[in-house]
Amino acid sequence: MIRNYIKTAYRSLLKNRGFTMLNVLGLSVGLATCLLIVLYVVDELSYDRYNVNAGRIYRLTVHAKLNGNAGVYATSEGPLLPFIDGKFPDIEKSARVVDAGGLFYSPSKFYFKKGAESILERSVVYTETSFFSMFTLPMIKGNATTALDEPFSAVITESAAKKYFNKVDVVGETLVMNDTSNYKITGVIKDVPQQSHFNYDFFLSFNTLPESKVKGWGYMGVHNYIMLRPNANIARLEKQISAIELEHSFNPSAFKTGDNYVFMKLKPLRDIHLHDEETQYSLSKNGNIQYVYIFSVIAIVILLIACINFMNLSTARSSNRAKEVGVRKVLGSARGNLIWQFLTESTLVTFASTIIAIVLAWLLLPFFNQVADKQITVNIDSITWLAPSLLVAVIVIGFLAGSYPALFLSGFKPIDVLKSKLSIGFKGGFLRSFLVVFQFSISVFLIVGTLVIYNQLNYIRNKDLGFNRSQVLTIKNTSALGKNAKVFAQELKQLPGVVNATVSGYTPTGDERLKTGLFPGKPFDIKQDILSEFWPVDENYISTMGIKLVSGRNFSKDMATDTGAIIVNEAFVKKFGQRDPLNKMVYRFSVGEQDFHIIGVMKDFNFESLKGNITPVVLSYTPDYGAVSARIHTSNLPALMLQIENRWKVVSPNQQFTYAFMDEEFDATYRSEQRVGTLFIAFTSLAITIACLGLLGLAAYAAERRYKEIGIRKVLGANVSTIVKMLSMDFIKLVLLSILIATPLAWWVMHKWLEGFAYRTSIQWYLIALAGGGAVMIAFVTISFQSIKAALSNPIESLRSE
Amino acid sequence: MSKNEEGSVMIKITDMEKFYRTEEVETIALNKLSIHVKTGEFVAIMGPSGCGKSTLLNILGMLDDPDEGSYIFNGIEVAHFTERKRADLRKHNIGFVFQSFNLIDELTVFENVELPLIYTGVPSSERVKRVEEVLDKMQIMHRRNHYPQQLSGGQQQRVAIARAVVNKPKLILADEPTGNLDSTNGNDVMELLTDLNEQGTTIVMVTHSEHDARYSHRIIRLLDGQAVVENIMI
Repeated sequence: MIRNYIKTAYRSLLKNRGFTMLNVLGLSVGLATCLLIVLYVVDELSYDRYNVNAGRIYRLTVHAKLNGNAGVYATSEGPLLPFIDGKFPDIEKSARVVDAGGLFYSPSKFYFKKGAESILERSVVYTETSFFSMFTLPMIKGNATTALDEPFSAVITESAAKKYFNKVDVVGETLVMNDTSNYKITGVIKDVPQQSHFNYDFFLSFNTLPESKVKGWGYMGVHNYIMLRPNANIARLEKQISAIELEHSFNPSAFKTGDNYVFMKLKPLRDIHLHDEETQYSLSKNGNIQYVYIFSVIAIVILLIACINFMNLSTARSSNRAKEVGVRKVLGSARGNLIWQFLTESTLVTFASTIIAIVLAWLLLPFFNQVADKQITVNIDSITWLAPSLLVAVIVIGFLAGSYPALFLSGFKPIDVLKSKLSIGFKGGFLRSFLVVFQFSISVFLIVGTLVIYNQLNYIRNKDLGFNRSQVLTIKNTSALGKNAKVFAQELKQLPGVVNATVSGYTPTGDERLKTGLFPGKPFDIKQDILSEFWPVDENYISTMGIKLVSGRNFSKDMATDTGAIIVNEAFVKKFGQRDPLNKMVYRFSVGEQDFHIIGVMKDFNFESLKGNITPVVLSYTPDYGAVSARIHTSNLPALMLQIENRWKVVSPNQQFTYAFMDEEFDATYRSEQRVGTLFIAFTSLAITIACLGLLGLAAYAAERRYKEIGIRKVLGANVSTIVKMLSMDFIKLVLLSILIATPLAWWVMHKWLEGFAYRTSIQWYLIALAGGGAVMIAFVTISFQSIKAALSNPIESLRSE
Repeated sequence: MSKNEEGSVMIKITDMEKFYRTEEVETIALNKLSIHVKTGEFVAIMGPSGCGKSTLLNILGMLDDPDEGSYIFNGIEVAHFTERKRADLRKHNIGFVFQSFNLIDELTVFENVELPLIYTGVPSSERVKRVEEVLDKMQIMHRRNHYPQQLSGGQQQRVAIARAVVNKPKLILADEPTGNLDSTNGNDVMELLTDLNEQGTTIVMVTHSEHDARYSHRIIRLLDGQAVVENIMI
């Protein structure tokens, strides 16, 4: 019986090639998209799960609120772990990790020597030997139980070993850092898996750091990881550690007053990648569970649209199958047999589509990886879960898509269809109309969503940020030049085409940041702490960046007192609470106490994602040689770049010339939003394409069903445009209904999305109109292709066939 | 009627009613119709369009159920059988021949004829034997691998008849079997049906053609859902 079903199905599909192609194409594209999204979602969900002990590893996370500033911090006290060591039996192991952001006494930039060249490495971290027994990072050379016990030891990854030494077995070799420190390599580990919330190549011994010698509490730069014993009481442990943290905090009484608080939470390792968004100082830029949800929904929606196509096209062309149903029933087929037959058929189509989808997804994967900034690969591991899942998907989708046609077709009364009494097929398909409305509602929703996202990204790109980011070139890694960076900047200024140049690693679009607490008075009261960005700059900074001064003056090298001068932004002034902040003092407690006087107030400028409000920024007149930024004005950029590079080679022959344009860096800040935007646009286009494929099929069948009617109308004098209008109106009405349903919903959802941005555009009426108009246009073009064909046909042909 | 006589009656319909309702109109298709067909009989049903011929044939073939009345088939009351039971009874007992042949376009001649055997669960080797036998008998064996579209009307109707008889049904219901054929092919088909009847198959045939009706033993004439005349053919 099954063979007979498959045979009939195969021949029927072959006979109706056009229909089969539409169905298979729609389903394949839908499935391929789904497959890519599934790979993406699985990749996002698999973070840190490579660790055998993933379920027992936690990061200590500080939740604190003080002086109205609430925050969640991935870093906590340096002395905390040694203090609790051995006190709580629930803790099996612990390891401290300090990345560049947590270094206060040590250089936070790492240049490693490879021959004469110094290479800047960002994937450097300080940690302890226990780290390697906690996380599953297999050591291929060296001793994992002692690797980082000694100061100035280093464990590096296989890739780093190959990069610096062209071989893997480099235990015993020396790494020279910043020309001053020699680290002995004690171990080589396999590369850290991509799906890890940290991605380092150089693990240096923690006890090398001066920070590790800090005995007093108050140093908050450490990522503290603990591994618990099975069945540990997490809530109790959190309470116990919180009590210790509070007791040793900078000012315990302050945290106990008002709505201030400080407590510790154990963040499960497996949650760090997707559920850690509000946490500051996380080890790497994490994912966002929201996007996982959104893309999962999109995947389901696209699949639904494809399934609906299948249902609609199958039922629409039911007239072609009606006779077969009738004959089979007459010959003794029960309804159940027919249902099975049609389900077999749809499963067969789904199976074929799945094969094509797999090929499509495989071809698209590199492009998808690029857009989504992923490195997803399909390997034996993924095939072991992918293959059975796909098989289940084929059956589920085959049944889902085939169920309605199966029930519909198998319900025909045999004699009616055999005597052609039944005008089955097109008219009266309420469910089909409903499905078309459903599909187009989704399409319109996605179009509105895409337009709003595009508009917002455009708004961000063109927003006045409070500084002028265009035509600013930043030459990076000038630290190695030391004071010569200033000379280099002077030389740049001599070049025609360079308007101005400033020396500072802290730029509004860069990633160099320094947060510090400033106090408006003495003695220091933690409740008055103004948490600020504290950027060391020179006197050319404000003019080069195009930052506007609201009051006061710029730094001047002629004023000796300016070494203690600062310029603050408006956000700082607001927190500072003084109407006239000029010449007022503020204090910083860092390595000893520092006094500053305010000489100017600058207009707020955006230096972080526009999702958040502008926070206090303080410019201090102290040298930082991290980067040289030049405002340029030239029509011949390549020539200027060549001149600058030549200058660079003279002053720093061993260093690579690394530069960036500020507007490009700014765009990079929004890369994740843009990535989501691009993906959203891609998926929307796919969804609409699939919906249109369905519409194309439906229109073709509507025209086919009304072939005779069209003939009669033409004989009676109807012209082509009347016929086209008649055939199109049925569908256009459905599309209009979809617009009515989808636009309010889309408006509401996108409004919510925009609320996530501190700086946002509003949803203009014309966006909605554009989306609606677009949907009607797309639908009309799709339908008219068929309608015009039908309307142009010779009426005699259709009437003769009766 | 004696018990013996009742045994020879294959179809017994009593006071059968069938209505078709639309929103505003109710049409009576069968109006307290009572007829019977004996085993081995060849009955023709005639009447003008809309008199209820096809409705009757549908009910006889268990493709539709009556609203009122009784239908006894081979001694079993089937008027209100479930769909599954009717399908089961149908596939073992009844063969159909239609005016428009109703062959499945996607299946070859052989596969079309094989279909009823598949539904009755006949094993594959047995199927091949029986299909070949019947194709031979219908003189269409040389066309076994052709698709219906590749055959002439007469050939298609032969295939349809082969399909109707392959399961050796007790009853053949023919709905204007020569309606789409020229007179030569039409006569051939009627000869085939007569042969089958002579071999013991009961035949009920709806027809507009007095010529075809003459092949039968008895003509039942319907008007407005009622049997008005019965002609016994000599």
